[in-house]
Amino acid sequence: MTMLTLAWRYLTGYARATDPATRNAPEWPPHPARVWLALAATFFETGANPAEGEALVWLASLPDPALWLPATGGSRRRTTTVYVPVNDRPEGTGQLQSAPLTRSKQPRTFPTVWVGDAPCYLHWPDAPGAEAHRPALAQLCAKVTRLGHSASLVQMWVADAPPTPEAGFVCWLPETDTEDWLADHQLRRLHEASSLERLREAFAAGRHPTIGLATGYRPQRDNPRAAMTALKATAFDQDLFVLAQTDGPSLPVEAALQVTQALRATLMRGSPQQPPPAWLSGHEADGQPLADGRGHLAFLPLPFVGYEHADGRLLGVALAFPPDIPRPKRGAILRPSILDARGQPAAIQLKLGRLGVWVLRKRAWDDTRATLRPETWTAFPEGAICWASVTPVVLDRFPKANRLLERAAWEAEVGQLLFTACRRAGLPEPVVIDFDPTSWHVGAPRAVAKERPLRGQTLPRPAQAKFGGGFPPYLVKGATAPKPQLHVFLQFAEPVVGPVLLGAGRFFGYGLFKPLKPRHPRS
Amino acid sequence: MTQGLRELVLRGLDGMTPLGFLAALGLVNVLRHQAETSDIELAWTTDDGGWVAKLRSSAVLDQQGLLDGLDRALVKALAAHPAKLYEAQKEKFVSVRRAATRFQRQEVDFLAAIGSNLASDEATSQLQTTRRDYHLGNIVSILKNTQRDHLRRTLFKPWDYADPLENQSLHLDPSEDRRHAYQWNKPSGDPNRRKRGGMLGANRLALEALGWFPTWPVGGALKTLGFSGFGKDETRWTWPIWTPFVPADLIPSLLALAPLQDDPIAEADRRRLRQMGVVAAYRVQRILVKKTPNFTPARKVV
Repeated sequence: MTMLTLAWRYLTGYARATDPATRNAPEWPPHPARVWLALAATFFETGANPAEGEALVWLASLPDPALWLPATGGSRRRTTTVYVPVNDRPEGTGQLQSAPLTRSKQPRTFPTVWVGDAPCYLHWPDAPGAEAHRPALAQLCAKVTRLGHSASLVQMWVADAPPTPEAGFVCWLPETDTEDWLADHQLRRLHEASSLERLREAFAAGRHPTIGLATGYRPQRDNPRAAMTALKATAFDQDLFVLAQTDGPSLPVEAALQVTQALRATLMRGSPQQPPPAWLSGHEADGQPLADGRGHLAFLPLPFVGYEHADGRLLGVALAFPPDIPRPKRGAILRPSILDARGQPAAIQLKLGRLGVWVLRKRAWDDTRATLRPETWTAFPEGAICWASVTPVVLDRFPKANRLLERAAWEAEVGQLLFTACRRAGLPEPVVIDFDPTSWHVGAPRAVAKERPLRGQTLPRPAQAKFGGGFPPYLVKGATAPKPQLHVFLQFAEPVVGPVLLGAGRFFGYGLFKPLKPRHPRS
Repeated sequence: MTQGLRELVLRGLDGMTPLGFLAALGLVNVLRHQAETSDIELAWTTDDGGWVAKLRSSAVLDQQGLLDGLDRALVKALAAHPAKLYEAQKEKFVSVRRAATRFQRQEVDFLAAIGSNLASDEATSQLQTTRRDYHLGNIVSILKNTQRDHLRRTLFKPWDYADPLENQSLHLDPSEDRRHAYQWNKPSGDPNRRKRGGMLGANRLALEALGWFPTWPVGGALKTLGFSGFGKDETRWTWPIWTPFVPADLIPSLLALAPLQDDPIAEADRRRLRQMGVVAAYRVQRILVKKTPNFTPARKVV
C-alpha cells in the first residue's frame, strides 16, 4: 500500500481559523478540507501548474484522512471581544477628515488556538497513485504560506510517515462508532471540498469557498494501550470520564471526600442493576470487599492546582474505571445517572449537608479548562516521569517507628510503605520518593491541618487549635484512629501514564497525583 | 413503479444553507400546484461537496420547461400573492379560513405561517429575519423584480450573489450577517448592497415555502415549526436532508420531526432518522446582530 502524509507547522505557534458556523470560536482540529483549500489557493496564486492541479483533483478523491496532532496543542483561550477601528470615512468637520479618533470602533473577535512548535499531519494510509503525484504535491506544499487566516503562517511539506503516540501525538480518526455515548464527539467536516472548477467560479464571483459534507472526528482512544506499549500505565484506565460542576457552591479541595462519597452513593442508587456490580461498588454481592485483585471504580476530585494563581477550588470529578470493564458495560450501568431520557447530559445533584447542593454534568467536549481535561491528570499519551500528590496519600498502616524519636527509621518505613503502595497500584518502582506535609503543587492544601495546643491550658492533654488549611483525616472503615497522611513526590525511570492513585483512600480521591515537570525533590 | 419518471438535479439549490433549502421547498410547493407536475418529488443528492436538490416527476423535467412553468406560476403583484395577508391579518383570519378548501389552501397556510389570532400583532414568525418595518416592502420588491434569469441562476448555477441586496431580500442567507468590523463599508448605506450580495431568485422561491412553516402562540410570542428555543442566543432552526424521493405532501412531516430539535440528537433517534432516509440535518442559530436577526452558517448535527 502506498501511503501519503502531508505535514505543516504553525510558524507563530498559533493556528488562526474561525469555526465556519461560529464567528467567535476557533476551528480545531483543523478541517482537512481547509488544508486542501490552502493548497488550492496556492495553486491558483502561483500560476496554476497543470501537474499540481491534477494532484489536487486526485487528492480530493481520496477517502477521509487521519489527523495526527500534537497532544499538547489545541488549547484555546477564552474568546475576547476587541474593538477595532473601521474603514469608514470619519464623520465630522472637514478639518478632522483624517483624524483616526473620529472613526468608530466596532466589535470583533480573533479566535486562536495555541499549537506550539510541533507539526500537524494529514495521513492517508492507502493512497494509490501517490507516487505519481508526490513531486507535484511537494512542489505545491513548499509554496503554501498560510492555513486559515492570513496571520496563520505555516510551513508545509510532504512527510515520509506520520508521527507516533510515543512522540507526543494523538491520532484523530473519522467517527465510525456513533454508539459510544461516553466518547467526546467533535464534529468536523469531511475532506470533500469543492472542485477546482467550482472554486474558480466562486473566486470570480468574489465569494469564499464553502465546505460541505460533515463527519465526526475523535481522538483515537479505542485501544490506547496498543498505542503506548512502551509506556507504563496504572491499574486504572486512562480514559477518564469527567463530570464538571455546573451549579452549587464553590468548594475547596478539602471537601473532596464529601463530594466523592456523595457521587458514589448517587451512582450506586442510579444503577439499573441492584445490587450494583462489583466494579462499581467495590464489593461482592454478599457485601464482602473485593479480594481477588479485581479493580473497581475510583472517584477523582479535580481541583484547580499547579498553576501560578491556583486556589485549590474543586471544578469537577472524574471517574477512573478498571481497564478490563468494556465501555458498553460502563455505559449500561452509569447511563441512567448521567444522561436523561433523551440521551442528553443530566444534572447530577449531590446533597452535601451543610456544604449545600452540588450539581455535576458530563463535561462538554469543548470545555477548555485544563483541569477538566483527562490528559491533565493522566499525561496521556506521552506519560510523565515526575508526579506529585494533590490530595494526601493515606498510608496503608501505621509505621512502627516513632516519628519524633526515631526519625530515620520512620522515614525508611514510610518509604517502604509507599514502595508497596506503588506496586499495589500497578506502578513501576519509583527511583525517587519524597514526602512532606506540604504539596509540591501550588494551590493544594497541606496533607493535614496544622495544630497547636491552646494557650493557657495546663491539662495533661491540652485541646488543640487548628491553624492554616489542611485535609481532614481519612478514617478507614472500622479503624479507631486515622492513619498518617502525607503529600508524596514520585520520580520514575521511565514515563508513566496515569491516573496515579496511591494509598488507602485512593478510590475516594485521596492520594491523587498530578504530573509535575521534572525537578529535584525537596530533600 | 418509477418507470417513466424523470429526474432533474438542481445544482444551485444547496440544502446546507437555509436559503437554498427554503428555495428548494418553495420550488416544490409551486410545482405541485401545477397540473403537469402535481406528482413532484424532492430528494437531496451529493454534488461537489454539498447536498443539492433533485426533483422527480412524470412530466418532462428540463431547464427550459421548469423556467417556463415558473414564469407562469410566480405572480408579480402583492395583491395576487398570499403575502398580502401581512396587512390586516386579524380581520382576515375568519374569512380566509372559511374560504379555504382542501385543494385551495395556500392562503390559509400562509396565514398560519405569519401570525396567529391568539398572539399579539407584534409577534412574528421565527423564520422572519427582516425587520418588521422593512419586511412587506422587501416582499413587494422581490415579487416585482424577479426575472427568469434570476431563477435560472438560482436553480442551475452555483450561486454568484450578483443581485442587489437592498430592499429585496428576506435576509435568510447567513452571508447577510454583515457586521461592521468584518467589512470595508458601514452596513447602513453600504453602496455594495445596491450592486450585489443577494440571490433574488432564491428569495422569490423561498417566499413560496413559508406556508410550510406554521406558527403557534407560546407565551405571547410565536413558535415556528422546525425551531426550538426562544431568545436571541437560544433560537435554533434544524432541517433534515433526505435521500429517497419524497412527495410534496410528506415534506411537512419531515420538517416537523421532533428528534431534530434535541441537542444533541440521541443515537437511537439518529438511527430512526436514518431508517426514514434522513441522512443529515443542519442547524442554524438565529442571532441578533444589533437590531437585525440573522442566521449563522449551518452546522451539521446528524
